[in-house]
Amino acid sequence: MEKTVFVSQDDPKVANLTSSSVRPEANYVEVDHVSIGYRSRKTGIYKDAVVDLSFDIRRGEFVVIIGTSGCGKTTFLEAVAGLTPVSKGQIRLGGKPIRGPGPERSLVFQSPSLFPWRNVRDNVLFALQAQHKLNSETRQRADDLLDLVGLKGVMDSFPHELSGGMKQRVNLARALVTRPELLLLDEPFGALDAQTRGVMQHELVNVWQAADLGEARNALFITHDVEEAVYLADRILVFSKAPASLAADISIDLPRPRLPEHKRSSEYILYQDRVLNELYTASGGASSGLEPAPKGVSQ
Amino acid sequence: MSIAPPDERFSVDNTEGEPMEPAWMTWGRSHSKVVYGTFGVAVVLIAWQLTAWLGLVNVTISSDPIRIIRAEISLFSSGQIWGPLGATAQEVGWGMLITLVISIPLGLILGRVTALYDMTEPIINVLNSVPYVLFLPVIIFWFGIGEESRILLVIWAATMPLIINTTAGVRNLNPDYLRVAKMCCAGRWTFYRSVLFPATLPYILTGVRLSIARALVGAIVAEFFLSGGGLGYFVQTATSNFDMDSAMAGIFIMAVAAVVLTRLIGRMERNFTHWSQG
Repeated sequence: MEKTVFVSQDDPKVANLTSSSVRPEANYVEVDHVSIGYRSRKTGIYKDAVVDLSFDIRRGEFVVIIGTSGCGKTTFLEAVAGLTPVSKGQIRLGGKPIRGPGPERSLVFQSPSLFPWRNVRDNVLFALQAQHKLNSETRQRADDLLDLVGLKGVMDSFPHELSGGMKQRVNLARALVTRPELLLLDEPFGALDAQTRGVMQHELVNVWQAADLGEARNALFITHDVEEAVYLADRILVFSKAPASLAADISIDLPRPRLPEHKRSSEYILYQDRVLNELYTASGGASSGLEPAPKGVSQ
Repeated sequence: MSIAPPDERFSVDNTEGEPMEPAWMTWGRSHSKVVYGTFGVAVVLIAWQLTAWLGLVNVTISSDPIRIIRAEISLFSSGQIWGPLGATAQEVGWGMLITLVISIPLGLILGRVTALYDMTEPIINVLNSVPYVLFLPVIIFWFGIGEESRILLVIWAATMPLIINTTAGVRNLNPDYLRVAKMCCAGRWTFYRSVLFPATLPYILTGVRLSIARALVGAIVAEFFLSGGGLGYFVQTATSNFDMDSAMAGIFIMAVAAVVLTRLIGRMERNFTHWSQG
């Protein structure tokens, strides 16, 4: 693999982080003054999960939403998925408002949510079957995808025979097999141990960068792990504590391909500190215990 | 270590520790349930036979195991039993088939549609709690004393446990499966066939097991009241003729049939729902 050369810290590019954009194309996702609330089934009390959220996502961007647990980021992702209705405002996808789930969107669930009565291959094929896209070409694609995520040997195994990391790979393959334009990931590696999590992040980056898989695809990734966010993102949106609003919008101007060893490099650490600081400020100003971000990095 | 042939295992690997053990003891240990079960049955049968031989009970009233075996042989060699056995099998077969076709889809739908569930729940509970035999006079009044009435009583007996179990299974559906189906844009038919049915199958098969037990009771009761063949009628007639050996032989056949059917469902549960125990 080609070794990436990092820009030095006094490079003007680093000083001007927020200005860059990956592709100067039209907006793909438009979030327009969106509020999402829910009524508690027991008490009947209405609660806001997300309040007055507005931002756009350009075509081809890998966007990571970061926020503390229970801040409403998952609710927002579900609204983009079409599983939860918005109570105010509009989320548009390619100009059209979202009214429900669609074949151009896939969700990688927080828990693997595999069907235990189907083997690995059939779990992936379910997505195609549901959309009436099952044919010899798509079957081949499913096999290729399972190969790509390292599951070639266990295609006939059942979910209960797999480890947590392997289940999440199946979950990912099931989401990708329908060639979605927008891939939604809801803390997909949150339940994995640190080592597996690192491997999975790397594989996601690989799959994301694999040429045969994609047109300019979008991803919306939810996490509360700062290191993970910086490693994966073109752009990080920091959500405030509940009810969520947009606290910061940080472009991550780091070259691809990104490799696991880059995570400990100074550029990555600088970004991580900055995101962490924003996160602490956004979640109620608890003392971060960190030095303020270096001048070149602050907004 | 399990790959090593037995002789090697005992002579080389296990010079100390594990003591040697004859093969039949190993078999007995791993099949202890079967061994004890058979032993229990044997004790009862031998006691019965002994009391009969010692004249403690009157064999014309109680029969005994050896006389039952003789009766069994004569019933099968003369072909006398095939008629009643076939009649009962037919009632239970048709009854169960109709029960499956009605109850499983109905249970799936009732479990999904909350309004329908709330509407039907009290009715189903009442129908399940009232002893179904009580409906027999009404069924006879409506449908006569033909085979339809017997099959109807079988259905009446068998259908409620299956509906209740299927509905309970659907209502316990893992919400994640529902979200996956929604997210994959699965249509209603795909959802019912490829998600809801397989997810509920462990509950359905438990329901079928309860159903079959009740179907057998339903068939026998129907035969008692609506004469015209069947094992129930056979046992009743044999008893009235003081032919206790044949009556007991008929009961024994019924017992074997019940055990075989229950075992069959148990095997289906293990084969089709291996994933839910793992």
